Amino acid sequence: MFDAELIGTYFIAGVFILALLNVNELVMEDNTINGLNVLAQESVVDIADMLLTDLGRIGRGVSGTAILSMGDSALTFLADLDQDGTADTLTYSLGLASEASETENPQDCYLYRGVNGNSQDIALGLTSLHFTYYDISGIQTSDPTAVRSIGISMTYQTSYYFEGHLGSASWQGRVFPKSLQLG
Amino acid sequence: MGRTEMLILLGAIAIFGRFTLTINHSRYTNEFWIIQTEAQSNASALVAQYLDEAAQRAFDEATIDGAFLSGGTADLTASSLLGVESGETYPNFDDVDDYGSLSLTVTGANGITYQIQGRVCYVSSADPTTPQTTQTYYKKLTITVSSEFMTSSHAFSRIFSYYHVG
Repeated sequence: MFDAELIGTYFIAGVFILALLNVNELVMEDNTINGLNVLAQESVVDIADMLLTDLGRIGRGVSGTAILSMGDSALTFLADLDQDGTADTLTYSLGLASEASETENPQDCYLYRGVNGNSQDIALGLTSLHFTYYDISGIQTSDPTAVRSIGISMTYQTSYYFEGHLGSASWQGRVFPKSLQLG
Repeated sequence: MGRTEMLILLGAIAIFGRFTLTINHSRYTNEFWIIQTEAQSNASALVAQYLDEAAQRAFDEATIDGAFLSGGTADLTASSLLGVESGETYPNFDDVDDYGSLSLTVTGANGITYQIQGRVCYVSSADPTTPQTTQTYYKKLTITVSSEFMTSSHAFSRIFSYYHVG
């Protein structure tokens, strides 16, 4: 009645199947976490493209000082965006983490883009955004008239967790607005 | 358990072991590629920064402050002397070819460390790929970026030309 070999076979098969299921779970977990990281990378590069494009236009069609205010995570400047001969006022600013309370991530913030006073949130997920201002020699400056390039450093995180993980990606670059080089 | 069953069991363990190792290798490779993609994205932004920065500088030591080259290309820095002049250090470079001596270690926002190297040469308008031993009105700046998180280094080039607004 008692077949030790049969029981042993079932036991070994059970161990194998459990191990396979475990491996499968790990692979699925990794795929999802990698997917979140890819999503974060795509998002941060999209935001970088947008910032590089807009900040590259600082001072276009403007006579005089183009940068109206310069902060660590907010920047207001003049640029003739639609090339209608009238300078537009553009503002980029990072909101507060508390504004994005509907997400699981407690640190993510809205990125706001304001044109002539009409501000809209254009991205959600930045956890940090820093502008650094450089003069013609590449030295940091706080004088708006001396700014020739602007460093951008930011980190994006996904809004939701998976198994305690967030997708995360950072980006850093510097933009040299053509109109500022003429000053 | 007979010898045959034992052999089958050992075979199963070997196949399963190999399978697990393959899966683990794939997991590691996938994660490395994710990190590498981020490293490459930041590396290209870094290189663009140095190329754009060089574009703000004079074409040559002889053309600083918009000086006119009355002697033509003969007034330009000799090919063998391209690079940073004595006493100049980054970021206080004043002409394009100073960036040929660029050698920096930079830590990106993602914490990844990059090695940045510059190389500069004269090229001709007819052949922008072959370095020229004599001065021309075209300088080719190549910035190479590498990192332990990138399987190979990446080089980006830009050609700068001399012009004078009289």
